[in-house]
Amino acid sequence: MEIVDIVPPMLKDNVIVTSVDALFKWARGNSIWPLSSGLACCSIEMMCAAAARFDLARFGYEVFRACPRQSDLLIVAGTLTWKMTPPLIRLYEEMPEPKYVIAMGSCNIGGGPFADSYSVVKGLDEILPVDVYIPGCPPRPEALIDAMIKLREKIQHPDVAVKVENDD
Amino acid sequence: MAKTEPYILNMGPQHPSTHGVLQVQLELDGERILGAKPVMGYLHRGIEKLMESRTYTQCVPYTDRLDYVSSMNNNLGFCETVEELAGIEVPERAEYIRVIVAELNRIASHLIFIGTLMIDLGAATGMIYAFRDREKILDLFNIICGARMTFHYIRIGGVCADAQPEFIAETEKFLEYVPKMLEEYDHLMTGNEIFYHRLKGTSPLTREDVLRYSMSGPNVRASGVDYDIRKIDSYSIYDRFDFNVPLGTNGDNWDRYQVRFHVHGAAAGDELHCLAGGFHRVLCGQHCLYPAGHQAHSGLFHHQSAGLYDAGSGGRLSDRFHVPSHDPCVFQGAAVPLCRCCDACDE
Amino acid sequence: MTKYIRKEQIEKLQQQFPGILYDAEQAKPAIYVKPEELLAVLRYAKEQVSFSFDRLSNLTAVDYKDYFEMVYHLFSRRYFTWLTVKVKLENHEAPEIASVTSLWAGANFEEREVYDLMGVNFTDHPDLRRILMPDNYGGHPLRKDFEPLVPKIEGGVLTWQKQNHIS
Repeated sequence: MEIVDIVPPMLKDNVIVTSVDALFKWARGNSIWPLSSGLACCSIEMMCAAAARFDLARFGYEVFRACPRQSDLLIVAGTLTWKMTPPLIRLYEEMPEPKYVIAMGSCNIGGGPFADSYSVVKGLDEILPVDVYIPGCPPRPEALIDAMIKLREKIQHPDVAVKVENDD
Repeated sequence: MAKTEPYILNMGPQHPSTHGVLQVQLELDGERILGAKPVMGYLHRGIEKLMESRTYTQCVPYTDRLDYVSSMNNNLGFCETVEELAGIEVPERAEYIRVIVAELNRIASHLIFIGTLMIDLGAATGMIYAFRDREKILDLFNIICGARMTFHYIRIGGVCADAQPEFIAETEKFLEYVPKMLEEYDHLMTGNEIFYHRLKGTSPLTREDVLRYSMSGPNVRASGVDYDIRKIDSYSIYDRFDFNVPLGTNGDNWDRYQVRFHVHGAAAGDELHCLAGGFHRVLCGQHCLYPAGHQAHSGLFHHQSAGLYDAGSGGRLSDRFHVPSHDPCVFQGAAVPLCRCCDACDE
Repeated sequence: MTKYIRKEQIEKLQQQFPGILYDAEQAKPAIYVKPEELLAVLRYAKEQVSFSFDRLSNLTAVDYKDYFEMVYHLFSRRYFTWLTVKVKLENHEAPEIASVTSLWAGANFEEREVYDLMGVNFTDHPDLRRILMPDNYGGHPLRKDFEPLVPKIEGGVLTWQKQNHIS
């Protein structure tokens, strides 16, 4: 017998029965705290997304923490160069689990306009596991908000993200 | 007996106040900064090398990304350099449009300065005010070229497309709003005791320092040196406009803030002059051949003057393209160690 | 409005330093200075009242495959004039030139950039080390014969290797 069937009918409207897992996922998805790790031009659009017109606060995501130990989302906004890679990996490693990564902008998808440069990383997924990619140069703040909503979907319903296994 | 000794604290490259990636190795005695060594290169993308294998017209979008808060000014500097090298004449209307969008972008970038200054000093809501007003300018840019940030609007030979009547009408409305906007910031910041005490007297740079370090832009004018490339070199059609150049006296953070603040008023004045001019449509050839030669050009990016040096040996590509201050203020970075003996902010 | 330095003034400089060459045909000729005379010429241009080139606007180098060319742009705030000074460095493998940091402290970072990206050695520079590329990078990217190195990141440490050519 399911627990949901033994709740008396008059309380059905006032009692939510769920699993701890689903509760945690709901909480996590609605209060993602990004790390303010803007690197270049996309970071200005990230700041615009947090500002008054586009307003990330509506979704619960306005708390940009300066310290990786207090954040759970790393938005890499801007061109990643090889010189910046060791600090970025360190930031990622300092973040506590569960943590997520958004690759913002075409520079982080595949190098962007600087793909053939000697000092630019050709895509963030060369060094970090990425959850959501945002195309654009720079992507509009609405695109960043869309990405964060997709991330929320991914957190709350992990089955939407299909993992492709590499056969090595 | 208790004694203290200075310690080295690393600030950056990821830090909310660096606004981009800049590492500063601070030598601190408690909260007092004894020394500051900047470490740069975390955003070195090799743009100069990339430009060597692109045609001149293909280089223009790269200039957008050099100083991404003032893309129009970067485009303008590059295009003027190439036009001087190739002897291309820009139609008058296009010149006016260029000055309008360049000055609007200057206001937008100084708004980022005000917003980030406020948030760095602790007033988080300040950033919201500044970005709200910046969005108004980005709406104007949206009308004229469809982009919010990296515009690629000013091209070699003129501009990408003509300014639409809505752009002109909306710009006029925005310019009427500018004095009210400035009054609001003045009210919030200039009279605020906390900002005054945090900014007044901190990291002063003397006139001699500023000249020794070949600094440029508002930082120079804050130290009392009258050096505004728009007046001195009058690139584009800046010589047709009459505007004041605000100067500071002490060269401290307070003066640097005041100088940038008053630039807004000057920029808005330029706009009104421009709108009285006439306009033309301009197109430029993609694959034309450019003559050999060397050209140096100086333009005022939003916070510093940056020349562009182009050495071409004829043909579609340039041999060497150099942007002297493409990384965050290379010359001015050398002056960071001068900001010693000041109390570090507590953030 | 600024203007380029007048030809008469260049001739005056030439009288002082006979090694200076320039192309009289051009409208804005750059002056070519011998490497050993560079500091003396720049000091003269800076300190002489009739020239007063007190601002160093630009410092860069160009790689012409056989030789390097250093380019200095000077500006006089008193007379609103510009001057371009060029120095040809014949040794392409190990170019060397005197540092101008004794005249303009701001040249520090620009010279470090030229050293980093072009490999030009500046004698008497107070702190000549890489500025834009990582410290362990082995190569000078803006040289024409440069081959990009392959980065490798392991355990948070970045190292660079030469490219493997499959021949």
